[in-house]
Amino acid sequence: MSRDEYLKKEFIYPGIFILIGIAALISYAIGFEKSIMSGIAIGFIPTGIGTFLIYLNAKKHPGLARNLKLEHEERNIYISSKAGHAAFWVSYGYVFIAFVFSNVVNVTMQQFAIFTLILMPMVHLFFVAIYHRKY
Amino acid sequence: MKNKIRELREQFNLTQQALAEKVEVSRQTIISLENGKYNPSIFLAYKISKVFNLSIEIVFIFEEEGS
Repeated sequence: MSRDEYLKKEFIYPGIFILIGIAALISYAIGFEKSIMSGIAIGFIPTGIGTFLIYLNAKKHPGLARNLKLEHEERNIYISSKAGHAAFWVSYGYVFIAFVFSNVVNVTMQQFAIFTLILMPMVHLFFVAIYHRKY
Repeated sequence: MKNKIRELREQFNLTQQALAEKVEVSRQTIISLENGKYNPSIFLAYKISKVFNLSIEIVFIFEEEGS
């Protein structure tokens, strides 16, 4: 796949992020789950726009485009897959432990979900860092 | 799996970056390959061998378990 084709394909993801953000913004405007929707919009729209600008900039700078493409080279994919596998089992263990202690620890479903949403990517990033050193 | 990438790269007067660009990977991947930390896919092994005009089995030495 040529560099231009690759960049063209990668524009899909920021597009999806921006669309989700806009949908959340519309939901916020009509008053549906206002606090959650504002959070989603604040998270998704800047991320989408930022990523879009990076890929737009890469069209003008071949060095940046090459680096972006190299993020998907086979060693990085290998590391990411291994980290994903390890993170899955750590998260599985975490959910299992949370289930065992669910009667003892007094947290709401929302608190548990927020903590899980933060923890899971952190565990994945932790394993990515470890495997980058290993391989 | 052992390989002769470093040896061949030096013979061909290629830097790690130059070889990385030829086979479309990062310099870090070349470093990992040279240090024997990472085993390449058959596609990458083929690309690397092609740079040196050699066959895969000359560049990469497969060692069977127990040998």
